[in-house]
Amino acid sequence: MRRLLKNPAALAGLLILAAFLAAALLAPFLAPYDPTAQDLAARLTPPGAPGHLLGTDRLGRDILSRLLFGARLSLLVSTTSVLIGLLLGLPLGLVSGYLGGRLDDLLMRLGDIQLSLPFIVLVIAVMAALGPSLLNTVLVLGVTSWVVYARVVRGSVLSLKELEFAMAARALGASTPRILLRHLLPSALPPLIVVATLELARIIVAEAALSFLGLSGVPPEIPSWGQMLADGREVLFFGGWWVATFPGVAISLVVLGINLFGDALAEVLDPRSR
Amino acid sequence: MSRANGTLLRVENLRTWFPIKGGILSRTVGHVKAVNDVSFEVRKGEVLGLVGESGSGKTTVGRTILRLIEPTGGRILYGEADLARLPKGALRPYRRRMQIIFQDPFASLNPRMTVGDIIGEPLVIHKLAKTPRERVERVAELLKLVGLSPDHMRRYPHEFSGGQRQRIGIARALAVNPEFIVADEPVSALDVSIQAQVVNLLQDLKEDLGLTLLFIAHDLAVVEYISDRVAVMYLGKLMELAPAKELYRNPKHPYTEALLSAVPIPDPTVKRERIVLEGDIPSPINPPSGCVFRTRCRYAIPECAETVPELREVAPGHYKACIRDDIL
Repeated sequence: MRRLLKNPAALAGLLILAAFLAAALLAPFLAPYDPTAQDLAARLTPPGAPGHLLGTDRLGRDILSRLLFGARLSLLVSTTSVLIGLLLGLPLGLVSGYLGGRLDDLLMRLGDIQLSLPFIVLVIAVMAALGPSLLNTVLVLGVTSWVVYARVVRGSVLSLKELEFAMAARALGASTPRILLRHLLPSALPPLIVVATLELARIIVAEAALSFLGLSGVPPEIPSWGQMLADGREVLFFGGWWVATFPGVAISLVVLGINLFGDALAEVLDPRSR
Repeated sequence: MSRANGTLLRVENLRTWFPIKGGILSRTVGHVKAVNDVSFEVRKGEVLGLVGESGSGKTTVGRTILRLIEPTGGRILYGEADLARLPKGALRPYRRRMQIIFQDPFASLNPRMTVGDIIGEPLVIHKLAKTPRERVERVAELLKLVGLSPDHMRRYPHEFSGGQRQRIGIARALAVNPEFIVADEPVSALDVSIQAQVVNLLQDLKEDLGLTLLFIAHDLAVVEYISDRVAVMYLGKLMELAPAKELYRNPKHPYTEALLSAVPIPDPTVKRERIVLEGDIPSPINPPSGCVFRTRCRYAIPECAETVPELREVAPGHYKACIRDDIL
């Protein structure tokens, strides 16, 4: 941990993430306006105008306030979805790659089937079956992303298990869980961390797509960055560049922060880089 | 071969075939016959050298004996058990008795574990240390045994040279107090100057700890130095097996003869005939009929293509798999 804090990239990443987390938590105190309050007289105010630091959107809602409140939903949805996906995909990938055979075939074909279904169709089906709600949105986004993690881990394990240190562990009589957790998992983590950071960004945008289609189960009055992007798209060509730009910048910054931190984490975990 | 009292391990008709999958249905379309009907025994306290060129199946023999690769057929008699037929779970007690040292000292140590954890792991797995303190002491002892310092415990493998890493691998194998060790080309990846050190270390350990070794190598000079008996493999089969001195002085099989003629002699005045083997080693998927060596043998006769030569005793303790007795 100390080495992590000494790494400038990790520190920068951590600061960015901490800032967004603080913004999300303290949104009610930081936001100058109610994020849902409309002020049609001040609609599409450009950034920098008095009272509206980042401008307003089509309905005159303050962008800064919406950004701060939006951080809550976007960060919550993306992190929990990634965690759910990891929780499913990581163990399945480990076992699938290590044991191989029928189980591996079955899991990977299931993954293929799922990936061959258009994501939106899948979501519509699930929402129709379970009813739209925030929890269901998180579940759908999380559960469907298991394939990505499982494949990355499986790929690493396939090559790692052939290395002599894995064979040495077997020769010593190490149990399968021990080999998986002590010998294969640590070396399989770095690519997984990279994928998880990319997934996080993808899920923020995916949630936006669902919101846009009215499938996210999130009430429209609760702002999310994705929703703001979708709103901004409509006025983008009519001079309202700031409406979509600021949530876009926020998403990029979060992804950057996670990437910096994730890369540093992967590096710190590798004793060879010491 | 009769079963002597001093036999530690007896391999009978061992076969390790790897299936080749083909087509969209992943059907087995053939086999790589990496080890095909190999029989030999290892006597208690001896070093049996196993030599052969790349692709001869010598590494597969070693790994199959330890069930790191599943045998296709045959028996691996060790103590009272047939290791080839033992269910996976029942193998564990035998993992304490037999160990392996790998060829590549860079791939054989987990880069993310400290040396102390690597050598200490077998102690944890087999519950050989009651307390963490006892484990650390035992690891320190093992490090000293292989000529390293106990201070090295907290370091990671990448901080060591190839020779030192191989010593760590040896210490790990010794942690469980095994009686039998498969040394799979333990010095092939090392600098020549380091090779002798590691071979000497193995020999000392063997004497001090009463180990039995299966020493796999492609370097005949190294094998001659350390082995009591030597077995020669070619394309998944044993060609010749004899006491080391006898084999080197008096090879009976044409393949051994050719191998030995390629060993450099450190004396420029000595002239001798080099037997150059034409062509490459044939494919183990579709090995030649009869004697597998006949396609490259300078003594081959038509009969060689018809019968598979048995490994038979041609002099006391000297076995060869060749139908011709009128040569060599």
